[in-house]
Amino acid sequence: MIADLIGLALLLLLGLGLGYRPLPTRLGLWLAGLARAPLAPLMALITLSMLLGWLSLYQSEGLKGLSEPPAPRATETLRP
Amino acid sequence: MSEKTANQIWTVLLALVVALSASLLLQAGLFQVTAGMLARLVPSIGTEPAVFTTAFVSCLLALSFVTALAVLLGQTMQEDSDWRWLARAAGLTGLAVLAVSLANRSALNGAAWAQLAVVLAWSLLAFWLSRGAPPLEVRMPTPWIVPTGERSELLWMTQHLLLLALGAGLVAFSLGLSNFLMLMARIHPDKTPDVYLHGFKLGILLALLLTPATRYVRTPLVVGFLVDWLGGLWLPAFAVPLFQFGSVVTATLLTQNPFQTAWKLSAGMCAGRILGRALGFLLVGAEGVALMEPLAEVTLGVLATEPE
Repeated sequence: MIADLIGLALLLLLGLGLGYRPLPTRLGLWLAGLARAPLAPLMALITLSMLLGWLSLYQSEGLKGLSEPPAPRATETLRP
Repeated sequence: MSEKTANQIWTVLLALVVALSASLLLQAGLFQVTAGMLARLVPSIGTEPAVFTTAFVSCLLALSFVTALAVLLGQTMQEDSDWRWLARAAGLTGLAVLAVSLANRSALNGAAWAQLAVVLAWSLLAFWLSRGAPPLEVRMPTPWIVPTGERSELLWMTQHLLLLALGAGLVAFSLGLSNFLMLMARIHPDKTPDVYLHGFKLGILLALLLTPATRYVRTPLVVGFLVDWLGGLWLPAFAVPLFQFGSVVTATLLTQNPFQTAWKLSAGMCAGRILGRALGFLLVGAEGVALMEPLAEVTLGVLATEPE
């Protein structure tokens, strides 16, 4: 993630230096438009439920739960 | 931003949430169905027929799910987004999550109960938002008829990225879990989550090769995606990004205006990885990060290189 952020920052700086417009203009108006759409409250609630899911994972697993993929489920297999 | 664009963005994100969450629920369901079938069939018909029957039934279940999803997305992810049936599907998914969680309520802690309350709230809100929806006109998608216009092509690509990725992923999941891959290639069922991810990425690769929206940057996009997907299997981790950079730049030299394309594609894919991880984290949860990242990486890569 950190490497991605550094790489993206360098690419954006390069783009700005070359005169390209990498970021959308009037970002505030974009966000306001998204917030006004009828589905916005639904998506906000879904995000809130996921954040509580992460909190629940933190309560049960500690930091391990947030940084490692979930433990694989036990599965049925053929008899040897 | 126009109301139409805002609706389209939320519709695509809601479709991703519904499809990926329902797929995770189905995986839990497939797990129960296949494990139960295998246990019952082995004593009566023998191991190999039991494995083949179980694999067939669970593949059929997976493909039926993807077909139903294709009908729903074909109806909603269009130029004029009508997300009301999608909201109903979201409501149903939320209630299913609630039911599965309550069935295992001994494992729930305080935050998990709070999460379930919010899940119930958003399920009800989804049904409320979809009130007055017209009857769903069931129309099978026709993959060979591509809509015209850049925006429609992009929506069409996102829809097919999702459908092909889930189709290939769930079929791989069924084959792994039903012991079919164990019988054929000695791939243990414990590896099923990894097999699912490989199937998912194979589906994305197919969509990259088949959808017209990728036509200007298909070669560099496919090369970059392949290195990202398989590079780690035969290169040390630190060398993968370097190799990816070199191979994308080399492949981009084949395109018109190579330097500008290389910069835009790299910036788009890089931003897509970050955005995909963040959206997977915030909208789908623990298993969403790995699923949303490649989808967002490809979509933003294509979006960034659209001709002006």
